[in-house]
Amino acid sequence: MLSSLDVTLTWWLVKAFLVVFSLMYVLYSIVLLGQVRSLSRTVLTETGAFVVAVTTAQLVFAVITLLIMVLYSV
Amino acid sequence: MTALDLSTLIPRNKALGAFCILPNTRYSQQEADEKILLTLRASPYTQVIWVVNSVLAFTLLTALVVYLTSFGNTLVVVLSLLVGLSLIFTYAWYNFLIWYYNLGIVSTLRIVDIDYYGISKRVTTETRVNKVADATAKTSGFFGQVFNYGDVFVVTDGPERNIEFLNVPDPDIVVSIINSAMGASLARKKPNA
Repeated sequence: MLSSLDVTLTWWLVKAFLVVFSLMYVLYSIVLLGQVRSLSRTVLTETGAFVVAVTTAQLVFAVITLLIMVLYSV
Repeated sequence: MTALDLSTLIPRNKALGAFCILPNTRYSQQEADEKILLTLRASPYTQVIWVVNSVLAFTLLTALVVYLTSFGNTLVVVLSLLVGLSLIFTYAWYNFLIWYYNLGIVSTLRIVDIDYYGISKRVTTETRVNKVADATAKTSGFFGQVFNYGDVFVVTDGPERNIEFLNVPDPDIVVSIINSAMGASLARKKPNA
């Protein structure tokens, strides 16, 4: 039988995990965008701009996810 | 392997951009008189596993969201969806980028092999065409034979690093084009020969 303290602690851990997960996702997206921009300057292809655009969209999605997780956790 | 006449090459893009002859691509260190003959990526047939994994994961996520919706807790559904989509998209896009930026370039002057191993490692190997001693194509395995993809090994003279293009479409044609570039390079060196 879970006590109310156990439930509170579990929810706190879940919330902390979600915030850390989304924060890592934002950091990963920033590093990836830097790499992709560097590579797209090294090799200029017709589809390079599209690849950079999708990677930027991933960063935007990661930031929105982080904001939602932070708002949910506080 | 017979060499091709480079002047007869026709721009061609096949295998979803994995094999492009005379592509509309430029390399950052490309010289004014240098022309890119070929760009290479791994055959799309070698990328099936992560595509299937992504589709399966997305299907599972959809099923999970439908199941969680039945409990009526919107917050849990939204959070599960966000985490699931983040993981699946990251996995799929990461694998796509590794495929897209693992690029081989054959130009009239040089051969470049860009190996992209993800966010932590990238290796670019480059050699001049006139330093190439030998180019070999190797097709092996059931799928390699059926879908006509294989490895191309470019051996260089001296201490320079050898170059490998792995799982590229039409490895025989790649070797022919490299041989032609080598021949053209020799002809430029000895115009009276």
